[in-house]
Order: sequence, then C-alpha cells, then structure tokens
Amino acid sequence: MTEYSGQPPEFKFHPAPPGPLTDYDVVMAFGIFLGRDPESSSVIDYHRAQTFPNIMAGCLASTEFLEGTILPMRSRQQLRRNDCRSRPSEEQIDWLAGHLMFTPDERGALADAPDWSSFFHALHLIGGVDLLKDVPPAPDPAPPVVSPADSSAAPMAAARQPGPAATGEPARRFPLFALDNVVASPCGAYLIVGWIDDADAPLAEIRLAAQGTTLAATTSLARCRRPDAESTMGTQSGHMLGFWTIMFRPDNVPPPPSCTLTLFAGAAWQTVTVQPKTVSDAQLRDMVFEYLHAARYFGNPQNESFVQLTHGPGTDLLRFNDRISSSITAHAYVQRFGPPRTGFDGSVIVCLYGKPEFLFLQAALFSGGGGGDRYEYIYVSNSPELAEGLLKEARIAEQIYGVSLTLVILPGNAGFGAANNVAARHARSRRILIVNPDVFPRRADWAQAHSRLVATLPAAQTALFGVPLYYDDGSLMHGGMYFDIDTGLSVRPDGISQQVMLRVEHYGKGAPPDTPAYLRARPVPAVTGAFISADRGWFEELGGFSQDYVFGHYEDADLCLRSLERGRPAWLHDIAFWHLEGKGSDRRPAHDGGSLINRWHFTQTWGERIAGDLCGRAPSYFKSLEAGL
Amino acid sequence: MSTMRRAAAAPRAARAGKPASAPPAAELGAAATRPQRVLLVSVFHPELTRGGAQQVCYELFEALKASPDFDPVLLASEDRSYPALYKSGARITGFDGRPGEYLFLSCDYDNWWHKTSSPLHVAAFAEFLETIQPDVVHFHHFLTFGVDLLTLTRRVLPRARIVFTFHEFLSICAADGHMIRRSDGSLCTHASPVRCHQCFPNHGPEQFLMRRMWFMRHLGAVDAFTCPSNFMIEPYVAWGIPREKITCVTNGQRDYSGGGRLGAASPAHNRFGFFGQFVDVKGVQIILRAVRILRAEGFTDFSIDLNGDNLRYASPAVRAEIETFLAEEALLPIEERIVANNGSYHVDQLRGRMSRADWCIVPSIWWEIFGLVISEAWMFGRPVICSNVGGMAERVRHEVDGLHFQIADPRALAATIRRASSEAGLWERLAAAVPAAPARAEMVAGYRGVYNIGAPEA
Repeated sequence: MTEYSGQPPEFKFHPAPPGPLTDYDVVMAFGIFLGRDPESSSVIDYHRAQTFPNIMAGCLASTEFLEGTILPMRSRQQLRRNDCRSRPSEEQIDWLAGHLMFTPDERGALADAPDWSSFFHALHLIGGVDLLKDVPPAPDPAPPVVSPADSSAAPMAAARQPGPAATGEPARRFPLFALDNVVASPCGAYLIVGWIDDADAPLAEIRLAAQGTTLAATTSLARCRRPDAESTMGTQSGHMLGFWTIMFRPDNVPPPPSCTLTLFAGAAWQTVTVQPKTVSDAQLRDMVFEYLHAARYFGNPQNESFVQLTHGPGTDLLRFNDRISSSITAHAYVQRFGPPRTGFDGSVIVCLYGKPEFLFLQAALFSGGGGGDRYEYIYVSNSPELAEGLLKEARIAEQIYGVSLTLVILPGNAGFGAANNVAARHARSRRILIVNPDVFPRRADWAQAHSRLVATLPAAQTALFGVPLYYDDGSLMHGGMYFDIDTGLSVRPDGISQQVMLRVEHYGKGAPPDTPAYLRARPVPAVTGAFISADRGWFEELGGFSQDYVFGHYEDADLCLRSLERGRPAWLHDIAFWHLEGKGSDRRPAHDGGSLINRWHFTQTWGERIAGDLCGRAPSYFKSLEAGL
Repeated sequence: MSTMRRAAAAPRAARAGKPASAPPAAELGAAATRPQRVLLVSVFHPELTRGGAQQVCYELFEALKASPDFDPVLLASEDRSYPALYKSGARITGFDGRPGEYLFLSCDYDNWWHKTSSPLHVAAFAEFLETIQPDVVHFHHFLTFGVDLLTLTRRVLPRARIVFTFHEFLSICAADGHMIRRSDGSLCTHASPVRCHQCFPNHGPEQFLMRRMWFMRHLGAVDAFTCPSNFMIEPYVAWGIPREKITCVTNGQRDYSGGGRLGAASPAHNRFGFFGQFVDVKGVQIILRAVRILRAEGFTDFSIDLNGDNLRYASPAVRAEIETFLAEEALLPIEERIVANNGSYHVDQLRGRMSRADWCIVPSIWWEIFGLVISEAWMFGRPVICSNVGGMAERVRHEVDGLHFQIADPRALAATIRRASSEAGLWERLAAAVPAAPARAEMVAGYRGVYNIGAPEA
C-alpha cells in the first residue's frame, strides 16, 4: 500500500484488544478495506507486527482505499472490488466490530448494510469520520435471482435495470442483456452464453462469484451474431449481440449450486444470481466446440471465427481441451492379446472412434500376406462405449489370425493426438505406424515391402514418411501434403483487417492412380496422419503429436513441420494403401468446431514459417533440398 | 463335449467294433489307406429348417456314409429357431442321437459382415476341428458360422483340404445372394461398389469395397470351390475367384420315386404343380397372375396345385397378393377353382404330390442356380416349365425335355400353360426326353476329384 498526502481519517477506538495480531487479522483487514488478500506472506508478516490501529490507519490511508472506495463513493459511482463481493460477510463484520468494540446496535447497523457503499457509510457514521462527504444514501437492493434456462430453451427475458434510487437520483443504466446458458463442469470450467445490446458500451469482463468470493473472471469474450435477438429488438446495426466465453476456477472443488455473474459493460455493471447446470468436463468441452461451430457472423465465418478466437477464448479453449485429454489418457486400460513376443518389425497404431468394425477388418486384411505376423497391432479407443465389443473382437482376431494385438481403452475422447501418443507408449518395436481405421493395404505383401524399405533406405528418408493413398473408386487421394494460404477480410465499423488462414492440401487428390509425379519417392512438406511410419525414437524426440489440437486434424501437419524444422522433412514412399477418407469414425458438430480451432492454432503456430519458403505446391525449401539429393 | 470327443475322434472302423486308432492328418493327393474324414459344414440341418443348401449337404453326407472310402461328419448350424436345443455353456452339441451329426449353436451373428462376435464360439469351432481332425473340410455355407472361420480352419488345420460350395451368390451380392437389383427388381449381372450402393443406399460404395476385400481375404483360404451349375462359374470368376479353383459338381439326390416314373396325371395333360417356398424369388405370384390372365381370356381348362409353405417369409406385398388370391379362390364353387393350395410336404410325400401334376412349374424370378425341384420333377418323369435364366435354363432344354418362358412375365407363362394344356403330343414328346435326375453317386464322384481322393477300386 502507498499513503496519500491528505489527512487520514480516524476512528474512535475503544481500548485495543489484548494479544498479538495474527495472519487472520491481516487477511481480514485487507479483505474489508481493500477487497483482496495480502500480496504475500512477507506482507502478512510485516502487518502482523503492527498494532491493530496501525493496520486500520494504514488501510484507510492507502491510495488503494482512496481510489477503490472513497473517490467512487464521493462521485456516486459503484465500487469495483477485486473480490466482487457485493457486501461484507458476517465473519468480516464480526471481526471488525469485535476489534472496534462496537455495541450490538452498532454491529447491527453494519450487518444491515446491503452493500459496501452502505457499509462504509454506516462505518463512517459510527466511527464519526467525515469519510463520505456528499455520499448518497444506500441504493436499492440487488435485483432478484435469475436462473439460466436449459440450453435447449429460448433465451431468457433480459434482466431489468435496477430501479431509480430512493433519493430520486437517476439509476446508472446497464445494457439490455440475457443469459442463455451457464454450464459448469467438475474441473471448474464454466461456459457462459448470452447476448447483450452493448454497441455503446462493450461488454468487457465477466466475473463469477459465490458466497462473496470471486471464483473466476475473464475478459476473453467471443462475440457472434444473434439473429433472434436482432429480430426481437428490430436492430440492423451490424453489431454482434451474442457473446460466449469460458472461464476457469483455479481449484477443483465441485461447482456450487448457485453463484453470481457480474457483467461489466463500459462504466456500468450488473450482477445476477445463476444456478449453473453441471455436466461432465468432456460434455462441457463438446458444448463449447458446438457453439464455436454453430456461431454466426456478419462476415465470412472462417475469418470471423479466427478473429474471435484470437481476441477471445482461443488459448483458453486449447488449454481446457489439453487438460481434459491429459485426464483421460491418465486412466487408460490396456490389455494385450496374442502370443507374447518382442522384436516386432513395427507397431501398427490405430485410433478408433465410434466405429468398432474397423478392428476386425484391419486385423483380417493387415495380417494376410507375408510378413503381417512380424507386426503388432495396437488399437486405442476414444469411445468407451465400444469397450466390450472391442475386447471380443480383439480376442477373436487373436484366435483367427494369431496376431499380437493390444487394446488401449480410454474413458473418453482424448482426441487423435493424445490417444496415439498413449498408444505409442505401449509399442513393443522401434518403428511405429500411425494408421487410420479406414486404411487398408492394396497389396498383400505390404509388410514385407515396408520392412524392406525401412531396412534399406537411409535413415533420413525413413525417419518419418507417408505413402500414396487411394479412394475406393481407385483414384489417388494422397501423394503427400502441401500448404497454401487463404486470406480473408474482417470488416468492422472501426476498420477492415486481413485474416490469414493456412490450408492443407493433398498432392494428387482425385488424380489417375498411376500418376508418377505423385508416387515417386521424395521429401514433401507433410504427409497425412492416415498413414505415418516413423522411427520410434524420432517420434519420441519430437514429443509425439501435439496435444494442443482438439479431437483431430492438423496435428499430422504439425508433427511433420516439427520434424522438418529439426532437419528431417517427411518423405513419401510408394507402398499403396486404400483410404476410405472420412469413413473411419463418427463426426459430430463438436468435431467441426475442433477443426476450426485447430486450423486457427495451426495458423497461429506455423503461419509465418510457412509463408517463408514452405508455401504452395512447389515450395522453395524443397527445391533446394531436392537439388542436393 | 467329452462324450462327443471320444465318439468323434474314433474313426468309423472303431465305431463298427474294430480297434480304434488315432486319426492322423491326411496326405493329400495320395491314395488313402483309411477312410478319408470329411467334415461337412452346413447352414441349418434339413430336419430343422428346410432349404436347398442344407438338403444337398445332407444328401452328400448320407452318400459319403454309404461309401467305404469316406468317414463323414456333419456340423450343421442352428439359429434359435429351436431354443430348446441350446444347452447352457455349450456351443457345439450332438444332434438327436445321430452318429456323426452335430449342431453349431450360432450366436451373436452379424448378417452384414457375416461373422460371429462370440469369441467362445470361435474357440469352440477351433476345438471341434482339432478334435475331429478332418482330412477335408467342406463348407456348404458360411452363413450363421462366419466367413472368417475359413481362415481359422486353415490356421488350425494347415494340411487339410478346404472346399467351399457356392449355393447362391451371397459372397458377391448382399441382397441375399440373389443378384436381383433392389433398385428396380431386374436381374443383376455383376457387382461393383456403386451398383451395390444403388441397391443399398444406406451403405456407401466404400462399404462394398471393404465387403469384397473381407470376403476375398477369407475365401483365399479355400483350396477348391464348386458350384452346382456351370452358369455360376463366370460371375464368380469375374468377381475374383481364380478360374482354376472353381469347378461344377452337380447336386445329387436320393431317388424319391423308388425307380418308378409316373404316367400322366390327366388325359389332357393340363395339371400343373408348383413345389417350393412361397417367397418372392420363387415366383408363386407369377403363376397366380397367369391364372388371372387365362381366366380373363376364358381359358379355364387347367389346374394348378401349390405345394409348399413359408408364406410368412414373403414380402408383405407378395404375401398379400397370394393370400388374397387364395381367399378369392376359396369362395368359388369347387368346380370353378383352378388353384389348390396343398400346403407343405415332406420328401416322402413327393410321389403323391407329383402324381397330381403333369407338369412342374419353376417360375423363379432369380437366377435359381440349380433348382432341386427340377431334379425331383425328373424323378417322376415330369417335364418342367421354367423361367429362361440361370440354372433353370441350363438344366431344362427348351422344346427338348421342358419349356422356358420369359422370366417374371405372367403373360408368357399364361401362353405356355395354355399351349401345354392344348397342344397334342407335346407332353408325351417332352416327358419321353426327361433325363434322369442326378444321383448321389454322381455327386460323390464329382467331389471325389475335388477332395483329391482317388477313384474307388473296382
């Protein structure tokens, strides 16, 4: 705290209470007068060494108290306290009244104060200090409890403005708004969805509190259109009325049944009491990405989504997803089938989601032909509801084909990257093959061809490579991947900004199956995660797939770029496989939201690098590389 | 299983009272000094569920039993049509006290991918193979077992000869193996991912690529394929079965006539009989429409006897058509009725049923790869009037020993019925040329070669 130069206010203290001060005394003093906890233990130690009057004097004389309480009250503004408590707690009142030796009636006057302004007004009157000169009487009580509707229900009626003050002073107006959804999850995440007519005073912050304690706060707000609100209000201003955000409590206690949300828009703020619906962490994650996918804008959805993620909760969403993925993979169940062996030529790793039939299909088709028994097969399932069926199929595959198969069952959807990473940890070979469930060999001797290739080619060409993949109609669907840059415009009333978005394309998509240019062995900017063969040590050195990406998409390109940056670009080698693209798993709206944020994150991470010498079908990086081969 | 194991492991000589010896693996291609153990795998047992494939398989079983060169074992599936036969904890049991006959109690069967999802059943099948130790495993179907059991058989018995007989086109065609396009009811000549998707709009073309790969993977374990008619070979070869692996072996049967052909059922040779299931593909509805046409034309001097059942398996539309016709027919004075429904029959009743018909009509609207009913008609000297496609057209020689009509065309059938009823000398000429029905011995001789077993000593 720092002192100001004016005469500090004084209280008439009764005889000081006996005994030394405690940490608790310091915390309570800071909490009442400054609305926060002490900065550190050394601060507590310092003030504990003071007397009670000195602590009080210090608080009252501090610039923090002046700016946070005295000046706003003198100018008839609402107090903005860091703890977001609307009024002191009974504990705080007891503490203060006890130390100041207030009579029961005096204590009662403090306890009757409905908010901080009234509290300090009462304290001023009781203490006899001219602290609050010209401060008006206490305003009207807080607005009534407003409960959010179910997510499927229509938006609630907008919360009303507080009524005019008893003194006849005009009330400070808060924009018309509504909360559609407030959802909490056990890990402390909250999703808040609503709309607000804040064209004149933008919504800047939302704070969450319970029992007078701030739980979380965020200024990372995503905006979107709300045609329903636009229609109701008859507005055509082009202003995005919708908002949604996600915030996190730092602790992991279960969400309280009731809490308050305080919305800050311009100089005004409004608090409502809500009763959040509680869902699982994964369900909340899915809801968030469904909102992201479904959000509407005035401009191009891709452009505007990027803008909102950049200036809004993009980073928070990625951290949230990573937290959930890590929690899921920490509880993997592993069971092995088939003869216990070591010394496999490779470990085929397949990530399943939603469709169990690909396990027995792949077991049949990968094990046929020579050399298939030199490979083990690891299936990691992001769909716990398939567990029983997969266990049966794994046992049948063991019986019929004699393959060595490992089943890794996750208790939820950890996403492609995280699931493959945990599966790779259970590999029993020095070579891992990341394979989509809808990929099948076109040649019976794929295993022999793969083993021969790995054994004979230079390590730099086999550290990480992909293969040509074909559609079911026989045409080519992948001969490596390259990057392009899309640019769009985001138009705002205050200006136009350019939005850059990376795009990943396949060489040869739809081309005749025997087009040599797409089949020849060569280094490429990236290969698809539908089939990646990698040296296990190199894969681990790269850290595996990044878990920043949500559900799936772009982590394969990210892996390849990280490998390229460390001197080992991905290669393409000609061992043909079918890829029934998009048929290997279920796809839901949340996944589309995940793809959207993945593209944003991929652009944020690699945009500048790719724009250098990695952009286009024939990037200059590879021209020089091939010239040296 | 222990009793079955002891009974099954002992060769026929032992069961006949001679000393038992352990069943060694067969030396394929060499003349065997002991009866060759042949395991026949049948979809359903004909005693429990009627059907052509299981009937043929059982005919073969009985024929092999009668030969000193073979020691057959039958494993027939059951699908809970008789729940009382399911025994707690058992996957394979004996059947009705019959030596060498066993039931596979099918469970958790996937009718799209044709596989079981029961590891215990897969294990039980493997154990059965290890116990029986057949020299030849002859699959007459994979339905209710799982096509992947072919691969399992190869793995458990690497030296056994695996034979597979196609009784329809189920490997090629997901539409019950009939190769009738569901999109327009026409006959289908070949499969492709897009064509199959047209019949099954809910399954993308890629599903049929996967289906074909799945089937080919397991059929790859088979040493030799057979089919009962030559016309089936080309579609399978076009689909991917190596030509050198597939041959034609006719379906043989016991002669139900006892060696005695029947004379004409009527002086006018105007009595016609249908023998088979009252399901869509067998074409009973074509006969009834032909009757309506002839009736409207004023031609009523003929009769139709329907012999069979399973109307409950017809489509709702066809079932309604048949039921409506028979109900209307029943309201007519008996002298005006043309069609009589005699209901189902056992093979022991064939003689009586055939005696009431001069002609046998086989109006199938699918390829009808063989048509056991044609053989049965021939046993009793009945010329066959049949659709002009598939196994029917291959077996029945038009204007030689029978008559063809345009498939699914009731007017064409009506004209043929009228001609058969009124053309003097036609029946006699055709009946005289009706060939002998293929006997069991002919079938066994054909399979002897497929099993790579030498000819019996004279």
